[in-house]
Amino acid sequence: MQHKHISFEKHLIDQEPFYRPTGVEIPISMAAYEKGIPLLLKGPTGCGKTRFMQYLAWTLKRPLITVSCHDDLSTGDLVGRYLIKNGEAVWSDGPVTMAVRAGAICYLDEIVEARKDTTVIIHPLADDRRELPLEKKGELLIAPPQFMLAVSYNPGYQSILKDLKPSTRQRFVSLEFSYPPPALEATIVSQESDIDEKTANLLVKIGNMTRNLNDSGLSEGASTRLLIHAAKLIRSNITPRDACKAAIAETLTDDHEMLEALMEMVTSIF
Amino acid sequence: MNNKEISSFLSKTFAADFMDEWEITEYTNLIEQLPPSLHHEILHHLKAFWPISHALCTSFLEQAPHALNCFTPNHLSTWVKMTLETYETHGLAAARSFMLDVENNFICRLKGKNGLQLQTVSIKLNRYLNGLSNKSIKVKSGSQVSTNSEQILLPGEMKLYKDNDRNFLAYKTIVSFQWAFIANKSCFLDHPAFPSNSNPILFFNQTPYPQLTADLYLLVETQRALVLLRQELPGLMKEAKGIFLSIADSRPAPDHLKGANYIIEAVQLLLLGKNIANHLPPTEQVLYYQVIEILKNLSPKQNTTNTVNLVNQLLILLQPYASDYQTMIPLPFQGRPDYESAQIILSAQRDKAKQQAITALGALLPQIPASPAKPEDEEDKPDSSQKLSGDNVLLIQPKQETKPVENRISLDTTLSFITVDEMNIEIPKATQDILQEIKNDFGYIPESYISSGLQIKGNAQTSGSGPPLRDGPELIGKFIYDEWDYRRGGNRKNWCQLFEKNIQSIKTNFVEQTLDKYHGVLMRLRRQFEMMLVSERFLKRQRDGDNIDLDALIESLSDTRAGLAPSERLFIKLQRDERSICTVFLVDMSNSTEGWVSKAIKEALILMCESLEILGDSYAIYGFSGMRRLRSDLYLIKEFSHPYNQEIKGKISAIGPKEYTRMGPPIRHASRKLLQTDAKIKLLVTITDGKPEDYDDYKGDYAIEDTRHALIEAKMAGIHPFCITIDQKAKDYMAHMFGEINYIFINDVAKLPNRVPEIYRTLTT
Ligand SMILES: Nc1ncnc2c1ncn2[C@@H]1O[C@H](COP(=O)(O)OP(=O)(O)O)[C@@H](O)[C@H]1O
Ligand SMILES: [Mg+2]
Repeated sequence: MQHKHISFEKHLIDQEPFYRPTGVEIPISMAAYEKGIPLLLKGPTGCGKTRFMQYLAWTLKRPLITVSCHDDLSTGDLVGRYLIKNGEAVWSDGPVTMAVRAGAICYLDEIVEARKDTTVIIHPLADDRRELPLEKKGELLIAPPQFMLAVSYNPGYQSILKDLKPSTRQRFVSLEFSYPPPALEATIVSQESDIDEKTANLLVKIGNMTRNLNDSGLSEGASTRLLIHAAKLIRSNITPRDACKAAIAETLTDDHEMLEALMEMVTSIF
Repeated sequence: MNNKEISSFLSKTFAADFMDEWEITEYTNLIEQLPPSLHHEILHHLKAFWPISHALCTSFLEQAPHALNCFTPNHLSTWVKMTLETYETHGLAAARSFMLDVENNFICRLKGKNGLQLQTVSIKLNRYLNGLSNKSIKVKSGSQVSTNSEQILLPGEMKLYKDNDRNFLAYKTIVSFQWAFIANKSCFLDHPAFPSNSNPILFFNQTPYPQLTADLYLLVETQRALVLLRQELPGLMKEAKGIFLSIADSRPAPDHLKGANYIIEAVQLLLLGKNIANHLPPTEQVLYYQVIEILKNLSPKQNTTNTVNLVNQLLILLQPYASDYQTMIPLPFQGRPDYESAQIILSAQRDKAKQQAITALGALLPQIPASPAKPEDEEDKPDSSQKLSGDNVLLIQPKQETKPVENRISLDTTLSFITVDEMNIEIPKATQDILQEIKNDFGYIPESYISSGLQIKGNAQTSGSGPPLRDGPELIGKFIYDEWDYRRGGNRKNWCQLFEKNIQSIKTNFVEQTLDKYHGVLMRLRRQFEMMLVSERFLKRQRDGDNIDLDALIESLSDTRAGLAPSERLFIKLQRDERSICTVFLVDMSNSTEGWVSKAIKEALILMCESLEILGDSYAIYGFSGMRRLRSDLYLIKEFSHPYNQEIKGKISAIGPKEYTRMGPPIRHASRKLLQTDAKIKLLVTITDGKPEDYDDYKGDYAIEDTRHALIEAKMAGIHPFCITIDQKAKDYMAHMFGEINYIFINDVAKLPNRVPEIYRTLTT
């Protein structure tokens, strides 16, 4: 695995990431860290979860190891496996093992996407045992106090289906992330894209309109990230309408009716 | 093309689609009479007509010569498109008459004479409104522009302009203005002199000149709407300038107006961007400027208290002219708010909020057995709220010192918890929102709401809940599901019960008959499905994998011995190109499928099973029906694990019409079952003959929205929902429910058995 020689420094964040708190997430996370409790970040995509983790890692001066989960991700991918190197079977640490050894912050993004069997390693690591069994290697790692586990998940719709099992979620302190209030979101958009406050404000209005549409068939409205994309395009002299079409409307839907409706909203703003 | 070429083209193109010899001859003769240069195009259009309706096909060919006399051939495809649209929205007869009167139906519209029809843009407008407001507001056609806070009435067609883009903009401008009235709560009086959210007419009637007061009120509210729109929708306000000016120009010349009418018209025109101050007579001019001065002090944050105060000031100014005042002609986007029906809606909302609050609070009280929510109609029984209201339960209002009559229940002022017998119960966010809304409306929470909540709970505990279950031997399991209520934009928690039921396998020769009847089709299907089979294969020399690649290992060892750098690619990986697809076929067993449809569905299922057996894809078949929210039945015809055998065949044969079509619960349940499988691709194919509809209020938009929401939930969970329908009116709602590309409409029941396996094939390759 390529993570094998990853050094402590490489995952340290040395510049303060730009992050605007939207609630009490910072003091809560600090307290959770102190007490060795893992974090569960809930919320739609693109609303600042990753950025928050970077900020937290920076504040705590710990390396941050992020794993984006997908449906093929297995325990082996997280913990590590034997590889043959130079004719010998050599153990190679997976990202979680590395994070435990280094006392880093391990962030499993979109945890529900991972294969169900990964809970086998998440559970003992997430409760007060704080241990990681490397079954194949016959080793049991105990996480040092500096180590922190954080996972994110997107509750999306009130779906009964893609839910985190209660036995898993009950091991975490949970923080809800959602779209920041309009004024704050506008500040974020304008900071990140270097666009004027006024345009940022208008973009946020469009964002909020799309977020109203979930019962008209849009599964998720525009995230802060999309608004930033649109703003960046505008900053590169694309007209606001074209920018919104490309960065927001077309990104959110393929349905023509919906696309037209989204563009009506855009044209009523820009 | 000559006769022979046409007929050979037809038989080649439509061979698989059952065009018979007789039809081919008929069509060939008709086409031959058309200009040869158009033959190709006509044949091309025929391909569009044929699968939709054969009758329409004939009519098209019969009418085409006449139509082509009326317009140039380059309009042919537009004419075809509009014919098809008419067919899809209004059926065959309408499509035929559309084709008959080319002049009125087509040429005029082509020239934009008929303007823009509301019905063609209402979905777009509704979505636009939905974006503006998180409440559900819908547009509807009506004789006068107006809103009642829940609906916006618009003219059925818009022909202000020649081009429909501008007509659409006009619609959009009206809708935006009406939305601004709603957002500003213009329909409701918020003034200390009146009860909260009263009818503004109460205020008008208190003044000596109700007519003038009403118009001034509308004028001020329009101004306030404008301020809001400039702030919220700057792009639209920029675009609408042209519309405003043309409205201003189309108003009757104001010179004949007198006094207050003249001044008000001048203010209205200014609002449209046209200043006529200089034309006003001197006295009027002075007053006009004073009026403008007063109107300047508006901001969208203010409420109607401020409006009432401003109107009072204006009344004093205009008093000298008040007695001659004639009601003004409203601007097109201004219309006349429907204050009366706004009140009716408000009281309905209050009732609903009350029911919700009562149910929600009732559900909070301790020792709640996990039972479905009480039916709303039962909550409506007059007794419960009356008996208890007020006298034995305390309600805490902010800063109000009420002595508890009975110290059992109190509600925290921040609405975040409720205290029952000295025990604090946290109020869930959703309930807090309901309570907050009630508090916003009345200014406090009426105590009867809470006492009734208590009463409901009492009932539920003593009498148990839900109707008696019909749990015969066929009952396998019971499940509870939420239901989406679009009106509140949230779920009704634990609203529906679904029962898994067994279906008795029967002995008939139905399967044999079907296999016989479709012998030819089956041969073809078998071939096609065999071609879809792909086996697993091993990838050698991988960096990691399931097994060690011995060849590579030996090579690497010898390389090492030889002093060479050994390869690290020593594994064999099993590449699973194999199909990892799991499908649920969800079959409508409502009573409307009686006869033909049910038979066709069963035949389709049999052909489907036969084909799937070749492929080895995993599949299950469930039938659904039921009655009311507490009894959705899901008949387990075939589970994933069941082999397709005699017993299953007997169960398919036993499928028959039962009761109603509540689609939400079966979709949710089938999704849950699908998600328990490990398949990479999870497909949910619903086969139905009509809209979701149940015996209770599960109808119309509500039913469609819930079904749609169940499908969205499924989709979010990674399931691919797809619908095969034979409902003639499917177009109206299917795209909305399933999404533009996730359904198919089969116009001829007889084709269903044939098409289902084909659709499956296209979906999964
Ligand atoms: N509170 C915030 N402070 C600063 N930037 C933010 C904030 N919320 C969102 N962003 C911006 O939005 C983008 C997307 O956020 P990200 O953390 O990647 O989303 P998530 O991990 O939730 O999908 C970030 O790159 C950042 O620019
Ligand atoms: Mg992220």
